[in-house]
Amino acid sequence: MNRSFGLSFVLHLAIFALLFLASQSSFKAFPEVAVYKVSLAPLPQPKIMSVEEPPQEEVKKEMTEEKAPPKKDAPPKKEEVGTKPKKTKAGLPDISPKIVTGSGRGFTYSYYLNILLNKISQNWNNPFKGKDVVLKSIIYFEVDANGTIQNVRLEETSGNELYNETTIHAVTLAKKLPPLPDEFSDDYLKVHLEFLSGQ
Amino acid sequence: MNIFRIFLESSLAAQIIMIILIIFSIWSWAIFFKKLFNFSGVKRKSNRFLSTYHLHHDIKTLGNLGSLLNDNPYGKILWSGLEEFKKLKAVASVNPGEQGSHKQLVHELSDNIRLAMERTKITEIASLEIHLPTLGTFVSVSPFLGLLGTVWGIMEAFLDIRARGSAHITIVAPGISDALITTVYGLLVAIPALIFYNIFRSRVSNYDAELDKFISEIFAHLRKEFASIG
Repeated sequence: MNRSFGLSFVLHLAIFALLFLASQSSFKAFPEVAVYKVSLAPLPQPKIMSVEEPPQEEVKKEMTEEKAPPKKDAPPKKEEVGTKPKKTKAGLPDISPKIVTGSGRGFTYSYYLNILLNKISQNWNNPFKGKDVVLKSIIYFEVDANGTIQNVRLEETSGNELYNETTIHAVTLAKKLPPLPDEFSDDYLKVHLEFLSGQ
Repeated sequence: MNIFRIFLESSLAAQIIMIILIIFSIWSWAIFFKKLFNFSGVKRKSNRFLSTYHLHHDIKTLGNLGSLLNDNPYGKILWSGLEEFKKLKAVASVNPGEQGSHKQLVHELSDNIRLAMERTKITEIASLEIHLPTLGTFVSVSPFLGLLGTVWGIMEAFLDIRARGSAHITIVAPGISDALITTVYGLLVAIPALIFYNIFRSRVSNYDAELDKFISEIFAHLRKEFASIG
């Protein structure tokens, strides 16, 4: 039996060695090549306001300037893509939507933003969906390194209590998101999320 | 797919299951090699015996086949039959009796020859069947063990989903794909083991039938010889 065990052991070693070599050679099958980064046209992304604690008056002013007149046949939207130019606290134009981190740097992990927006939009039950009422509220919240949502507050009221409640509820219901990316060094992420309806 | 990376990144439970399955695999292949050598040896020696046996039709010369009577199932069966024949021949010669009672005695005693050869056959078949129950156990247990590892891994993946608070495919997929590796291991052990088991089970059945045929042949020969003594 010892001879048989020896043979079997050698056979298994040979199989594992072959598998190991196969896995190594599969990497060699794709030789390293130079990687060129190209910038494509940005995909439409949901609206995430990018200002870090902007003065209320300034933002309100911009929004009234930028807001297009409501179209009667336009479908209602959730979390619009923020293509409108806005000004940060420093007064610089901000033409791409992004989340501002605790330290004020840009947050560029689009997969994480997709998860965040998917989760919140699933929780949002818009009472004015399909109705010809234009409403907008901005909710501010923070996401810590573990993905826990905290400090949720209404940053800009829509003027409708029920609408405001549903937007706050959508964010608070999300509670927990995946942990922030490891490469993201800040302690927390500040998010100013705009909820639009009837536009 | 790098199975080593998957092994190293798996949970402790999955690693234990994979190690057990690797041991099962080494063991089942060892049984395969052992039985392969065993059966080829038995076949070679049996063929050598049978080729000699067919040249001899006399009981007296069959008893002088020497080592050929001890190294294969056919020889051992013949040897046990001849030994019993010698004993009965001695009994019959000291109790000749009347014609009717002698026939009865021959009938009763000749059954002993068959029983002696049957006993030897059972012993030989049992020695050929050794390790087959172990192989059968590996065949049945390995897939279930692999499945256990997969269920465990999926359970952990779902717990991870709860901890992270997201069921996004990028979070779910790695856990589930890693969990499936134990089922792959289980099947890789069970499939060859099942093939070996069926091959050897069928060989044992064939030997069983061949030995039965041989016993009938020898028994008829010895009974005829035994009856002629009276």
